[in-house]
Amino acid sequence: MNEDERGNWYLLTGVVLGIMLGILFAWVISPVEYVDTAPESLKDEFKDQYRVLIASAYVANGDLVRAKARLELLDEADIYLVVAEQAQQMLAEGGSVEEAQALGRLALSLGQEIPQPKITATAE
Amino acid sequence: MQIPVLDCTGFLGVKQAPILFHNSQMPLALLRCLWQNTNAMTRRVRFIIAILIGVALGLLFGWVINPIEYTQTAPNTLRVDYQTDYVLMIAEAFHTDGDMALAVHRLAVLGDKSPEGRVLQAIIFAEQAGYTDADLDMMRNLSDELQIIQNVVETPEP
Repeated sequence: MNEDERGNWYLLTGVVLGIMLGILFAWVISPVEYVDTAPESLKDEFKDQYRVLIASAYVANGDLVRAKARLELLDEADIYLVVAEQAQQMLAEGGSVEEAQALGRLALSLGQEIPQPKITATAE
Repeated sequence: MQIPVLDCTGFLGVKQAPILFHNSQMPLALLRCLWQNTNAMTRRVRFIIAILIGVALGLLFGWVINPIEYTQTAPNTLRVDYQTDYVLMIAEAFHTDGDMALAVHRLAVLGDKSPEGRVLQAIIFAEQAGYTDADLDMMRNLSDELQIIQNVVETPEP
């Protein structure tokens, strides 16, 4: 068959093959390495450890602003709920009582900061 | 007026007819030149070039546009400022509970380096970053305690 009659589809094949090789290299052989990660990307078990550490540090320094700033690094929707749940779970699973208490104290302090709905009496 | 001439002899040495062009048509002349060279190549060479273009596109996609995102990282991959704060939290907790075994256990997740090395590295960063004296003192206290333990372990009994 003449070269011209065979068309140019082989070029597309080459590009597709190249893209596949490129992605294989970029994702499998030599993926981007993350060495400067943020706490939000930590594995769940390490996030739990991070929260315990925040709570232990809070018990030591009593600085709620700092504790909240640290908790916000974990990028969770409701930090109070997460800390309270972890404290309960730790107690239920027989974990360290001191650490569970630290988490409980932090959760309590965070809970007190949540604005409560005001109930006002209306005159009949 | 002299009309510029573009010599289109390609990198494979394929002799091409020179292209005459006006200055404003330089990009078009270059494209035409490239096209002439591409046409003169064999199918095999064009196929290899297509693969190379594809590889470049694939790498661009895999490294820049959509790189693998790690969401299951460990504390040892944390940025140095986060690692320093991690060490500070350990030092703060140690300041209250005095539990050295727990502090060493907590420091271990920051990597292969020795606990003393980790704390020293954190102190150096904290000093540069302008941490408060109180924070620095707590980290130094932890470092001193670790050093004492290290010395006790290393000192052979008579």
